[in-house]
Order: sequence, then structure tokens, then C-alpha cells
Amino acid sequence: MSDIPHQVSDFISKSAPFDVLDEDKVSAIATKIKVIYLTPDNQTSLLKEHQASLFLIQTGQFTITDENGNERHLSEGDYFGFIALMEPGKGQIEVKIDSPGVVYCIPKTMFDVALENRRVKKFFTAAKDDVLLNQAVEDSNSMWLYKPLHEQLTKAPIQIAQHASIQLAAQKMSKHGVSSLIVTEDDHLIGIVTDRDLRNRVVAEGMDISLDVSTIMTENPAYVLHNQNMFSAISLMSEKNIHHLPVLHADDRSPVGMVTTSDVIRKQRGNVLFMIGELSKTTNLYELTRIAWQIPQYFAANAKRAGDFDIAGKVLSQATDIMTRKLIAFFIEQHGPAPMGYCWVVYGSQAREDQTMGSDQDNALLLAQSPNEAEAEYFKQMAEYVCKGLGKCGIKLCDGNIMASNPELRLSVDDAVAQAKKWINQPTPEAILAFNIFLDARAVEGDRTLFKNLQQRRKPLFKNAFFLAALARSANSDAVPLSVFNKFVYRKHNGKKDCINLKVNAIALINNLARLYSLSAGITVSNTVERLNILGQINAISTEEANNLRDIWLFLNRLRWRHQLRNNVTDNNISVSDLSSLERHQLKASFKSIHRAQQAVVMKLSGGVA
Amino acid sequence: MGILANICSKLKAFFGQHQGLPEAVADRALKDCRWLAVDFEFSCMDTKTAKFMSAGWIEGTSTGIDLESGYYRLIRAKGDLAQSPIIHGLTPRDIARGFHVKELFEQIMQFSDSHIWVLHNAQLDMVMLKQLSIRLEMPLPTIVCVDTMQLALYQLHKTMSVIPTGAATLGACRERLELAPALAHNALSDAMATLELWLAQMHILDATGKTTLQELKSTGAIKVFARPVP
Repeated sequence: MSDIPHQVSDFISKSAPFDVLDEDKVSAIATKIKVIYLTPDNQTSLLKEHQASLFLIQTGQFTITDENGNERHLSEGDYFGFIALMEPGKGQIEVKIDSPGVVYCIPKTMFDVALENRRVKKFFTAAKDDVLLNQAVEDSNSMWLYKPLHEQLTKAPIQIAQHASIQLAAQKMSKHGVSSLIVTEDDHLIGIVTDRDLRNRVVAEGMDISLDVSTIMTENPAYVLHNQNMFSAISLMSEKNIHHLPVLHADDRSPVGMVTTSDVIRKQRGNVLFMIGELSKTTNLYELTRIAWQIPQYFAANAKRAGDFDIAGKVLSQATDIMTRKLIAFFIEQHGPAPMGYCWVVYGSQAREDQTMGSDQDNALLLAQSPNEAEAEYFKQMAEYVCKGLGKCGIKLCDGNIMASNPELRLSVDDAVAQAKKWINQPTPEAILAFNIFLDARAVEGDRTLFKNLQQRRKPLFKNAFFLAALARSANSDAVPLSVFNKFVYRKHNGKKDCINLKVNAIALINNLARLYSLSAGITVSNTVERLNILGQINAISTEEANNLRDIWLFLNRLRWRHQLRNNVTDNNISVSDLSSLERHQLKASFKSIHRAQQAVVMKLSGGVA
Repeated sequence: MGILANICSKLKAFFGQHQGLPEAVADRALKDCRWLAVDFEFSCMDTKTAKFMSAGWIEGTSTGIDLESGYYRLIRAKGDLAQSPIIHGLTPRDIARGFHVKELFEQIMQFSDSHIWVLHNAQLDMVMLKQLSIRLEMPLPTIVCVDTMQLALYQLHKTMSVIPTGAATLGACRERLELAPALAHNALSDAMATLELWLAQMHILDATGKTTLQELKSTGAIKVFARPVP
């Protein structure tokens, strides 16, 4: 039995994906490893000697050229040689030693042992196909909102045949402690009976309780299918204003359960969505600010899982929407109705629904026509009240003054269109930087047809090739923080030397890409994930590319939410040493994909001129 | 031979270090050698009172370090171990369960002929081995060693007249050659770290792959130890 030096087992067990293997397996693999010091002088003989191996770089820098001539610059923690092991006959590479170093050669037999682990296999398959591990969306499925209902139903449905008596129905409800029953004919749903029906239709009216239960049931009720998710159920219940929703099997429509409002509330208590409901109930500015200030603590306490982070930005944006609507309502209560049609429009992160704790407010008022003095004064006061109110609720005032309280952002639709024309005709880099934020827009309150009108009139303008080319060049001006040799480029932040600004150097870059392609394709939604989904569906970019960018976006977004909530901060500077080995790999892979996508957009929209 | 050289020679003989390389290996190219990186942990640094606490070694050739050859054993010790077990993270139970030092001696001597030993600061370890051989009344066969510390000092002297304190430690030498930091105070880990360092040093010294052990002797890093039985 051989002994393994500590630094070897440490290095392997911290190198994703081997970090998922148990100690015994790591030891078994480690025993068979050959450690080489790869130099330009010995590379020919050593790579030949260990050709049937997976190479894991511990130190040094290497340039790998694949059979298609693509170059990859690799350094510590990176692998090469796995494609040839996974697909015999493929994956021929040339290795150039840029800086010699220690490389672990894991023989094929041991690589195969490692591949028996599903997560290891997934890692190398994703690396082979050059995509991010498709984990982001898979993890999201574990979110209760997106989980199929049949996975969440705990009780079989309590049902009763249509000819049973009302009394029997009431007895059955008491016995099982439920507030509703499914009424069936030949085991198929034909109606439901609730506590409320017994109260309103039987007791209040003095109805004979020996009558058939079908006489008091609600016929042909709304229902959901067992393979739909809780989100669909909640949407339907809110839309129809009902508290009980039967769940039927998708194949034979037999009843399999019942979703009730109390189920939803019980689930929401531990969920970030709960906050939305609380905000909606407020009736004055004091209550609103009191609830709003609890949001960060509520998030910190309840957003624990990756899936929560995926919707955290959406929930926070919805919360800001509700605050805005509430504030406008409070203002109207005090100052009377608006003198003309208006629409409260939001920009930037609120429009994209990816707000974080550090996001500031970006908004504007769109007016039906140019206001006279008195009208202008009304909207000035409204804007100041709402912007200040949002500030009181913890949504920072915008440093760049992109707020409706700025008179330049209270324009009529005609003026807003004229302004867009001006941007498009003079797309200087400064101008692009200044108006980039206005390209992600969403209506939050007021007359949405005004906003729709603006969007429709701006849509053809934004397809202008010169404008898109300028925008593409601008989107490429910020780079991912990765050196030529595939190493992270760090910045110092708060005494930590290994920080990366995830917003500026990664998430914003994907937002830029999604926006560009959307403008070019005339898509008016502003959420990045939705934009990417649509872009993939209409083949504006390949589905694979769209899904990959979406997964990367979700992954990066999770990292920054986790960073903000764990460390109780509002910045986006994550420390790489806080990440697991797998996350570091995924981060690198993400950066590489973003870089490639940036190059592609320049080729496509700017004729290759970066 | 000058007086000073004479004294040096006698001192070296006393410590069991011989100047000449055995004929069988003198002209052997580095790339054809089999290496055994060795490290011992002792209870203290005083060679008169120090006891062996653990031993670690690992083999390598020009085609790489063979992790299957990794060997680590604790040595059963008696008497005062000063503070050392704490430094090495050993419990009294670990030490009591260890190998007898004689077993260690016998095991490692299997490599005396076949391998060139690689040590970082060979002097201490080899003097201790020599003393052990006296104590066990067993011969110390001829052992050819490469001392990575001496080699580092040789290289440092080429660029600076005064060597800063700590510049020749295993960690510092590895850092200069951009090798990963390695855990210290474990015999096998240090042996592994030393062997990696030697492979990196060889790359600098022996770009052609033709350098022989004899040619390396001028660096002062090649040492020969033996204690023939009188």
C-alpha cells in the first residue's frame, strides 16, 4: 500500500470535478498518477509516454491547439487531453510550453473510474462541448415554484360522488379536516364544493341537507394538470380569484389533489415572494417604508438556495414596482388625479428585473402630450414624491440623475421619439454610454399604451445598422477579467486582493449582448433571461448559444446574490477565494464564453470592427 | 593537497561523506538516473540527541514522479522528544505505534545502490543515518545524493554575493521556480516537494539532457556518503 503526499491528495481533492469524489476514490486515483515537470525540452517524449492520460496542470502555462487550429491558453487547475480519452480518434492537440511546470498525468483507467461519477462525467462532457455545466437551470427546477405539482402534493384528493348527500359531503370534510371536496362522476371531476358553499348555499338558505351534493357544487371548476408547476397554479388562482384549485392527472384527467390558498401561503412564508404580498397590503407611506426596510433582512434570512437567487432580482424588482405604484396612488390620493395620460417607466436593472440590493432607481415619466405649466408642476411634484419615497424605501437615488424628478426625463411620447432619433443619428461612444440604460425599459404604472406606442415607434429606429454597429463596438469595450493565459485578472477590494467585479466585467456584458441582439431582432422584452430564451427560439442566435449565455447569466447572478447576502454588502466584487473549485472552473468557462460571444456580436453587427 | 583541503577531506571522511563518485554512476546522464527523494523528521536539530520520528520517500525518473512509490512511516521513539511531535502533528499514540528504526534503515537501504538520493540539505539527514548505522552496527553503503539546497545556493551565488537568510529553504527555492507552495513538516510531503524542485532545477541545468552526475559535481550538490564496516 503506497502513501500519498498530502499536497497531492489536497490538490486533487480541491480540483473540480474530483472534489466530489470520496477520499478513498481520490486516493485510488492519486496512487496511479505520474507527476511530470513539463518543459519544451522534454515535452515530446513525456507527452508520448503519457499520451493515454488526462493532464491536470498544477503550475506552468501552456498553449493547447486543437485539430481545428483553435488555441486555448491554460494554467493551474486546467485540464487537457480529455477529449481524446472520451472520444477516441478525436481531440488531437499540440502543446506549446509557455512556462514549464508541474503536470499531473491521470491514466485513462483512472479517468474512467472517475467518470463513473455522474457529476465528474457531466463536468468533462460540458468541458468537451465547451459549454457551462447546465446546472443553473436544473437547480432552478428544485425551486418550489417551478417544481411540478405532483411532486408537491402531499395528500390524495378527498372526493365525493355527485349523488351523495350534502350532509355526507359535510361529514367527509370534517372527518378529513379539509375545506373543499372534489365532486366526481365516474371518478372524473365535475365540480367542487367548499366550506363557503355549505355556508352560503346550504345554511344561509336553509337547504335540505339530504339533497345531492351536485346541487350546491361549483360546476366545471378551473383546474391545473399534475405536471404543471405551482407558479401556474398561483397565477390561475389569482386571475380567477379562487382559493381551491383541483389538480388532475395530465393523461386521464383523474383527480390527484387540490391546491389551496393556505398551501400557497404556507410555502410562501419561507420564500422571498412573501414580501410582495406584504408590500401590497400597505396603505400609507409609513407602512410602506417600514415593510420595505425589512426586505434586505428578509432576503438574507430566506434566500438560501440557488433557485431563490434566480428569482431574487425579479422579486426585488416586483417589490420596487409595487412601491412605485403605491407611492403614485398615495400621491394621487393627496393631489387628485393626473391632468393627462402618463406612464411611469423604469430603466436599467429594474426594467430587466435583475435588481440587487445595491441597485439604484432609474425611472422616467412618459406623458401623453407636452404639458402646460400647471400640468408640468403636477408631474414634477408626483415625480419628486415618488423618487424621494423610493429613496425612503431603501431604493437609492440615482447618481446619474436618471430619475423622473429630472425634468429632462418627463417627456411626451413625441419628444421621447425625437430624442431616440437624435441618439441614433449621432451614436458617439459617449452618447451610447449615456443612453445605453434607456434601452432596457418597462412600464410600471399609468397608461401602458403610451409606453407601447413609444416602443413601437422606437423599434424600427433601433434596427439601424450604423447604430447597432456602434452599440456592438461599445458592448465590446469592456472585457472579461481573464488574462491571455486563462488566469483571472483581479482587483483589490476591501483588503482582498483576488476580487472580480461580476457586474461590470461579466453580467453587464451578457446584458449588453442580449440587448443588442434583441434590438436587432425587434424584441421588446427587457429581461435578459427572457430575451435570451426568445433569441434562441427565433434562431436570432443558436439555441445552444442562447441557453449557454442564459445559464452563465443565472450562474453569475447567483454568485453575486450569494456574495451580497452572505457578506451583507451591496457591491459586486466577489472574492475568488470564496468560490469552490468547481465554481472557479465554471467562472473561467463563463468568461471564455462571454468573450467568444462578444467577438461574435462584433463580427455580426459591426462587420468585425471592434 | 593543501592543509585546508586535507582537513576538509578528513572532516568529510568523519561525517561519512566521500568525494569521489562511484565509477558505475559517474558518467551516468541525469536523464538516465532513478531518483529517490528522501526526507526524515527528527525530534530536534542537534545531531547528538535527535531521534528519527518519521521517514518519507518517493521515486522518480526522467518520465515523472511515481506516486505509487510514495512511502511514509512513523518511527517508534523512546525518551524525550522535546517539542517536535507537536510541530509534526503527531500524538504519543502515533509515535508508539510507529516502525522500529531498524526496519526503516533496512527498508531504505534497498535503494542505496539503485537510486540517486535527492535531499534538501542532505548533510543533516545523512549524518543522522550514519550515526544510526553505527548504533545498529550495520554498514552504510555508498549512497550518492543530490542536494537541492546546495544546488540552489550554487545558483544564488552566481547572481548575488550575500545570500539573504531563508533564501535556501525548500519553500523559498520552490517559490523562485514558481512551484506551488507545499506543506512542510511531513517527511513524505517534503520528499515530494524536493523531487519536484529537483526536476525543475534539472530543467535549468540540463537543457540538452546530456549532463552527467560527474559534470554536476562542480556545483557542490553531488555528495557521496558511506561508512564501510572497518
